Formats: sequence, structure tokens, C-alpha cells
Amino acid sequence: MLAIYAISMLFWISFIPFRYQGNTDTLQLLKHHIRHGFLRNDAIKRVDDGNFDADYFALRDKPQISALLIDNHSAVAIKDGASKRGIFFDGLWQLKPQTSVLHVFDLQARTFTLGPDSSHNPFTASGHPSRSMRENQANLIAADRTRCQTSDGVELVPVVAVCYRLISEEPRNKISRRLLAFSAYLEGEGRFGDGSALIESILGAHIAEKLGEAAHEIVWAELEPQAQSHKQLSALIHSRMVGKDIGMRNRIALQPPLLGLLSVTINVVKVWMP
Amino acid sequence: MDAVKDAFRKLARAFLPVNPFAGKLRALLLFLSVFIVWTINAQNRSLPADGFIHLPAESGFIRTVLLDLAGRYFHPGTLLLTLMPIIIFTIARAQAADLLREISGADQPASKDYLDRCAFSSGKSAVSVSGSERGLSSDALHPLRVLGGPAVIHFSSAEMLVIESMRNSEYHLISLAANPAAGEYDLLYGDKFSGTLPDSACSLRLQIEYERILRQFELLVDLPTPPASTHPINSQAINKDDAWFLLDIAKGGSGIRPWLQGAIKHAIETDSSRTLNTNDHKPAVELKTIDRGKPGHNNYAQSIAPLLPGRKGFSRPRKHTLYHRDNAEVSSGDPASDPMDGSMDLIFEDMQREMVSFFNLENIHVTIHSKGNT
Repeated sequence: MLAIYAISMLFWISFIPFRYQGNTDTLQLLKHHIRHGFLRNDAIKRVDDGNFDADYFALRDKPQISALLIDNHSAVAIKDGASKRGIFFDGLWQLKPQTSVLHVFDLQARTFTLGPDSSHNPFTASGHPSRSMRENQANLIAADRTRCQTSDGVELVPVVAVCYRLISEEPRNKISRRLLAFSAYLEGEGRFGDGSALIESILGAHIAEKLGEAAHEIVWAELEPQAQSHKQLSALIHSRMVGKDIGMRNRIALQPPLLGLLSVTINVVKVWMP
Repeated sequence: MDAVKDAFRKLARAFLPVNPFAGKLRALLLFLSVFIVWTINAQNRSLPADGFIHLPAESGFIRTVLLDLAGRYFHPGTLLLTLMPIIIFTIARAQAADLLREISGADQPASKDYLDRCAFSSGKSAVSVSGSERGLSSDALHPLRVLGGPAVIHFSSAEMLVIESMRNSEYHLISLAANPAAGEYDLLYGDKFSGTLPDSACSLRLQIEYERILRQFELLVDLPTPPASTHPINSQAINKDDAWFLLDIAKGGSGIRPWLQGAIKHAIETDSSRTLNTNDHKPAVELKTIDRGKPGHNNYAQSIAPLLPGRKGFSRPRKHTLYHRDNAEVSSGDPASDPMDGSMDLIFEDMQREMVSFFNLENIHVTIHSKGNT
């Protein structure tokens, strides 16, 4: 009877289509079923659009989670018991007991805004009237990320819309190498988990630095009064930030560890001034 | 161990292919196997046949044979031994469906239906995408998105299907030839349905407010022309990024819109010295670059810089300043003296190039147009 059951399971499981992607085959699925199916243990976790369906630390700390199903918009950096790293793309991947997930990346284009709200001047003493104190405080903290000065000491707070995506047009082994290098860098910094949030944090710091450099090239007193409007300043700062060597209107040049990993375009939405 | 896995994989591919013929053959083989097992059990002399049906003392030969067969074939022990493997097989099917549900997120009936289709070419397999909302998921289409074929997709010539192959992660655009108004596509095992697109071109409209005027723009995507073929269904390979781009537009452009909006807004702001491609709008302000010759460095160095804290003693004019390019003066716009000269078209061309580079588009062509103001 046991043999009939095993043959029946193998028969049915062999039609599950995920054997084409990932490292899973019929025997592993059967093993997974025997280990977890009977215990009703939710051992397969999903990664969709660069997001876990569960808490990241639950996955990292509990090795009994045996498989990851990754959609075609995501990539996952892992490290096994022998400290060997790897990148998993779409498919169903079996994890060895000592394997931990380091980072999860979204391969699609993503957008974020750097700086404060573009509808309310952070230099005004009172916050936005229709917002809570906490929201106004968060807006001030966001303003501090992009706060910069012209060379003659005038404070500016730009608001920048950033679009980025992981460069994925190359062969996968090349992308894997770059993601592995970036994952190793993040691990060295003691940062794990959602790769997109980590990228946005590093990219945000990089853009803030570029904003500072661009603002420092401006001498406020030399600007015509009309050029001191936020629109003119936005255009001025934008033109100084985009990489002229790239030959694109909105693309910026990057530095390691993001160099070669991302394609980034920016748009200076507004520049707040006192 | 890898050799065993490879051998098993080859065995599974050789003996368990997924196609209608193989499925029906497997169903027939299963039926025959059940009958053989039933017969073997019935002929098993260890079962007490005479305890089940008592033969009358005076009965004919045929009656005796039939009753004997019935006694053996329908003996509870025979039936139990025959049904037991079927019950185990059915339990295994339910558990495999459960595993499939856990993996894919499809519900239990859809998982069972999928396994039946793969194993025995049975179950409901035809799904119509005609009239469904483009690119949006629906209950009927969800199993096709996560599990894929085998299935038959009915679609009209007004739309194209985007199909992903799990074998090699390739994407294909499936369209009907001009003649039939509707057709059906056989979604194979290992292929997933990703979405539908309107035939020939997709578009994305967006509005951008500038100087309190809403300007309308349109992104037009020209899909690749299918090669001339006598086959009623055309298939064209596209890359993964093309597929993502097209499907995003079909869903309303949530991924593309922020990029496009930012790029166009920046283009309007920085290039507003040129009139937009409209006849009914006078720009509120117009930028004109003024040739200042040498910019006012002496002015700055002699009058302003000494007043700034920490800048005393600074008197050297900057040699390589950029201000003569960036300083601009605002003057009243006059469309009559600055007619539409196609400058926005050049900007759009730049933007199109940048878009192709940013989104890694290979097989599709994008154009951006101004559609005037509202």
C-alpha cells in the first residue's frame, strides 16, 4: 500500500510545472511533501515583486522553511552553511537547512521621492495645517535629507523624484555577479532584507550628495531675481546633476557600489528656499 | 545522486508527457489496469468465494459460471482490494493538489482540475479572454497565470496574448491573422498566460499641470508587425522587459507613468523657451538666454564676496563659470513671434531614446506626442 501511495504521489507531483525553473524536481517536491505536507507546515514562502509574503527575519532565522517560490520580477541573494553565496531568479528553489536569505531584489522599475512634500514649504515655521504633528515632523526629517547650501550660504531644499531599475538586459550570470557583489557589500555593512529599501537608502544618500555639490556650484547673489524662482533653480540643479557623459537628459552617473547595477533617472520637482 | 535525479527526470519526461493523446492513453491504461487488478483479485483463490453467493443445488452450467464469477468479482474482499489502490490514488491526487495550491496560490478545485488536465487530458480547459478587462486578473484566468497550460484560450483578432514559457523564460506575442475574427490558442504545458493587449498599438495618456494649465500627452507603443504567414496564429518573440512594459501599459501604466511624468515635466520646465505643440496656449512666461558676454564675476568678487562671512580677501574672478549658460531672464511670451518649431519633437525624440534605454525595450517602438491643453 505504501508503494502504491509513493508511486501515486510521484505520478501526480511530476505534473507540477515548476520543475522547469529553480532547482526543484519531482523527488524533492515529494520529500518536501513528506516533511511538511503531513505536518501542515507552511514551509514554502513566496517572493512576489521583490516582496516576501512573510516577515524577512522569520525566513532568515527559521531554517525549516524549505522552499522559495520566486516570481519573474524578483531575485533573491542566499548564503549556505559553507558561506557560499548564490542568486536565485524565478522558479521554485529548495533551501538547504543552513541556507539563509540575505537580500530580496525587485527587478522592475521603481520610483521614490527624495526630500519633503512638494506642496508645503519646509522653511515655514508652522507645518502643514491639515496634517498631524507627526506628519509635519516626518516632512522636516525628509527635508533634512536634501538640505543643501549654495556657495554663498543660502539654504535650499530640493525635492527629487527618482526612478531606477536594476540593469537586467545582460546575461543572467553577469547580473548574478553584480547582485552578489552588491549583496556582499550590504552584508559587510550589516544590512539585510528588502534590497529595494536598501538600494533606495544608498541611492538617496548618493543623490543628496550630488545635490549638495550642485547647490554649492551656485552663487545665489549672482543669480538674476527671476532665476531665483523654484522652477529655474530646479532646472539649474537638474542640469548640474545629470551625467553629461551618459548623454541622457535625466540619467545620472553612479558610483560604487551602485555603479553598473542600476539605471537611474531623476527629476528635480521643486527647490524650496527660505 | 544527481545521476539518479537526471535519470528520473528523463524517465518522467519520456513516460509522462503532457499532451491530449498521452493524457487519453494514460486514462485508458488506468482503466485497464484497474480491470486487470480487479480480475487478479477475483481470481485469487485465497478469497473465500463460496461464502458470498450460495449456489443452488440444481442449477445450469451457465448460471453456475455466472454466479461463480459474480461471487468472485463482487466479493467484498475483491472489491476492497481493487478499490484500495484507487482510493490511495485519489488521496494522492488530493495531496498533490494541496501541494500545488500551497506552491501556486491557485485554489484547490483549480489545482485538481489542472492535475486532471495534465494527467488525463480531462477537466475544463477552455477559457475565453475576449471581453475581459485587459491585463487584469480574473478568477478564470488566475490558474493560467500561475500554473499555465494545458488549456485552450479563446481570443479575438482585436487583442494579442502575451505568453511566457517556463522552459526558457521567453515571451511571445500571439496574434490572429487578419481573416478570422476570433480564434483559439493552445496553451501548452509549461507555458503561462501573462496578459492580453489590444492589437496593433497600446497607448497611455497622461496629463501634466504646468503654469496652471493641464497639458495632455500620449505615449504610443507600436507592437512589432507579425511576419507574413499563412498560419492563422502568429507568434513573435519579445524580451522580458518588452513584455513587462506592454503589460504595465495594459494595466494603466503604474510602473511607467512616474518615469514619463517626471521626464515630460522636466522637459517642459527646462525647455519652456520653446512653445509647446499647441496653438491655443500662450505660455505665461518664456525663458530667453541672454548673452551677457563675461558674467558678472567682477561684480560679485568686488561687491558681494567681501561681505559674505569667511569670504574676505576673495577677489579672483572664476575662470570657468557656467553661469553664462544657465542664467536666464523671464520675459513675456509671444507665440506669434515664436511659432511652433518642432523643438518639443526633438525633446520627445530624446525622451523616447532614454525610455528605450531605461526600460531595455528591444522589439517595440515608442513615440510620445503632445495632445494639446485642456
